[in-house]
Amino acid sequence: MAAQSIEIESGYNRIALRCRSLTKAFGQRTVVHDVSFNVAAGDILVLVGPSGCGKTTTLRLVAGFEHLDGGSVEIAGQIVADDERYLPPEKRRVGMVFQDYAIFPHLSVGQNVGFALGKSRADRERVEELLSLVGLPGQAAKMPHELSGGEQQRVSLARALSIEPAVLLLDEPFSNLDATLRTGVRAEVRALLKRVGTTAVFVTHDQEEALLLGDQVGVMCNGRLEQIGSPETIFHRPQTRFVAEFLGQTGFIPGEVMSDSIQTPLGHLPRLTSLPVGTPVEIALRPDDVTFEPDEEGAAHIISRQFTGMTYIYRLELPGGIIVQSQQPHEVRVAVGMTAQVRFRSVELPVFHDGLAV
Amino acid sequence: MSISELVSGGIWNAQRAQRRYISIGQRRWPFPSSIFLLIASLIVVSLVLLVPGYLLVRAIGAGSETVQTLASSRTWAALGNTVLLTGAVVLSTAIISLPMAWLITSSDLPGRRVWGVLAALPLVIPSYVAAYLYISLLSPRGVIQGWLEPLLGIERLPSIYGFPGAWFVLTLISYPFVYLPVRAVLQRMDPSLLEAARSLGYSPRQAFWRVTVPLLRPALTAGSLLVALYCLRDFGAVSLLRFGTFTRVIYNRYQVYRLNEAAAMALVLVALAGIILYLDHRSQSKGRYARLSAGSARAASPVRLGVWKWPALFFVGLVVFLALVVPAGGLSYWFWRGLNQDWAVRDLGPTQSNVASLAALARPAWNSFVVSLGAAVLTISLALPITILVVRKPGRVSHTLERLSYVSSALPGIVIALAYVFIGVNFARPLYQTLPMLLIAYMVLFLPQAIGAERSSLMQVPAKLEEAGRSLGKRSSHVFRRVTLPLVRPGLLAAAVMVFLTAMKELPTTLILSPIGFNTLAVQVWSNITEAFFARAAAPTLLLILLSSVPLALITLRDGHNN
Repeated sequence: MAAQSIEIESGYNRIALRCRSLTKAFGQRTVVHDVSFNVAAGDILVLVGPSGCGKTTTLRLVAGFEHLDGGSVEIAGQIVADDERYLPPEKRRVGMVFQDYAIFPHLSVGQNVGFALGKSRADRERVEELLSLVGLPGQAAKMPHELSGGEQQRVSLARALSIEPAVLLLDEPFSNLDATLRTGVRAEVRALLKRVGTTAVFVTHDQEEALLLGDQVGVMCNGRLEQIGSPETIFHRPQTRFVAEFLGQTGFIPGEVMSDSIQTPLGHLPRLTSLPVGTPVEIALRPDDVTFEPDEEGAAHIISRQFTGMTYIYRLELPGGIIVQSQQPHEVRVAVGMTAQVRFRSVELPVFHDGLAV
Repeated sequence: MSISELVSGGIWNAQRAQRRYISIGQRRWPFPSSIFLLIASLIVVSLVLLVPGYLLVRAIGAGSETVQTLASSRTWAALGNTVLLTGAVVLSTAIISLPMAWLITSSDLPGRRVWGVLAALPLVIPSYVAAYLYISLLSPRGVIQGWLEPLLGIERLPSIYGFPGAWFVLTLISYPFVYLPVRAVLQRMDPSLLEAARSLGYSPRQAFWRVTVPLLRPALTAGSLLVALYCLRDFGAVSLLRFGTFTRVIYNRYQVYRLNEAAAMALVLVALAGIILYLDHRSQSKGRYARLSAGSARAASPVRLGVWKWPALFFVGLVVFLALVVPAGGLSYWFWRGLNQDWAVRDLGPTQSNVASLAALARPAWNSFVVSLGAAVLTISLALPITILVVRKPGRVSHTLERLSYVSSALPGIVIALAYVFIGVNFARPLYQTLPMLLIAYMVLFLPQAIGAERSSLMQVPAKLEEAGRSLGKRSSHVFRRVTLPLVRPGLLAAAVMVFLTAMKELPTTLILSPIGFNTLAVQVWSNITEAFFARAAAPTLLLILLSSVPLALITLRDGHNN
């Protein structure tokens, strides 16, 4: 899918990173296929997808650790890689935060952060400034192994910021942190990047993280960029069945195109399409799109109930074996095995034909 | 555990790991019979301490003679020679090993897998064998001169004896001690470290110097320490090449019954080894480099050599040629000559004499095998109590035990042999020149090797597993037998193989302490070489290398299989 035009924020529209038709193959296997996107200065783009989808390779192409087979990379208005040119990583001014942080084990925290800087007094002050920025003031003398995982990650971030990168690249930076720590750290890092005004590209396999961090989210699958857009757009208007499914908890029910609506097991969905009447389609349903009322006449059976604290997630079986999930407030407690009447809560639902939105 | 880890590993890596282990916190002590372990450890440690202790007592007892010896020019010359040789070999092995390891792990050198294996092989060549082969080929009127004379009219080659020969030979056979640990670090190094340096504005070359080289330093230090100890302890090569380092001079004094002089010089040698060990210990106690990579290791893409491929191939090929092909070729040559010589001299049918001369090796081969196996089993078993105490019950007592057992890594074979000769003659006459005495000396000699290997394998068994066993209601001795021992068995086996291999090659201890008429392959080789029967030395040498390589090959194959 081609790049979409990105939203322009308050007239601040300088492009920090422009990738055109990035293509990369390892031997016979094409791992990045015609990927294009732009990142505006100061924006955060998150590339998300299942493992092996090519997101990390895309990042490494931008950084210059891999050579392009086609397309071009432009950083801060300068082409750094295309068919003829290849600027080595050290000339690109891209900061990189690695998945396992890649802290130099033989150097102290201060020496790590100051690795790209000189030994002058100003540079030493800069190191301390960077450490304060990431919340590790006065820790310059420590050795990396004395730090926790979260602290190592912050050192890695400070080190990458030391070169005042045109683009900061972060490869699964939170995946080595435990779950409780991760939530807090994500928000902190986002706030920090916004405060510094850094342009950043994250790579993650976690959709929740993508929605939370990104000004823009790009969903990748099998080396292709399926869709790129604001988190809300990606979530509410997925362009492909894969995107809808990947962004979580989505079930699909079959439907059939009618003249002015789509017929589904849950009733008619008002929708005009250009597809011929009778075309089979799929409707994406998240648990909060569906509601039900206990009804002895109802056609659906409640087959399970899962308590998540704030809500209950009910699984209901419709005639024909179709299963839908419905999210209900925690005070709505209905016994498993009861029959119910199921209906749409919202009618603004993504509809797919052959995997593409209609 | 791989061979290279064993070789490089030894006590020093284990020491580093130990520190981390303690910091994680050791909760439970699963072995109730700690009294038994303690007593066993104390016996072992006193057998070790007996050596420097007795030498000290003897040297003090000899009074003025000791002072004279220490002040004599002979001692100072030996000290100078030893320091010179050790320093030169440490330097040259580093210069060979660093580019070698880098080319084999990180570049696109053609055939690097094969080179990687070949480069480690000189380790199985005993120093006296390498020295003998090089002498026979390169001595002023050796084989090469014999070939060159009709062609170029060269009547003498420059002398190989003395410092140049000793330096050359020891460098060629001991560089794997540096090459192997350096290669291991390069292989395990997280490629994202170099990428991080690149993203911070450094060129590949700068990143190499700023990141790779500092990371190699601990491995380089540990390897160089092994090389230094190897040089200090070497007896065979320096004796054959007539370079007067301590081991050679001490042996000469011993042969002319100047035992007090030998004891005083042995003490100086021990002190020298002790200083080197201490320096290394101090350089490592900073406790840095705790981990090299945390997360998923991605294979780095090899650096393209381009036109540098040819000089690189030449360099690696030259080292392998000199360290491996030449000795192997020389050995084959002499072996072949030996077969034909017998036929010519004795005027017997070739088959009969070959069988006869080879059959005569059966006894020494069997002796070598038995005594080395005995040494391996004894050392591995006696090292175990100390290792268990050190790993599973850290504390002041076990720490001290561990320190004391390190003493033996500063004791060259000739020193141990000398001390036990004195002790045998003066206090334990019935044990003098018996197999048990020889085995005890071997045990003292190989103890640090065994403890190092055992410790790293014992530390890989989490204490949690033992706790799980005990939580299931089993006694600790039962847990040790059913859980710990099966898990460390591969490590113990690998350690035993290394001790076996070293014992097969061990020369001075065997020469001095073996019972009269107890001929081993090493002794057989040695007596033939010293009498310049180069051809006759070939067959036992070949057998020695084969016998000692078989178990090594077996566990290497097993390692490869497991990986």
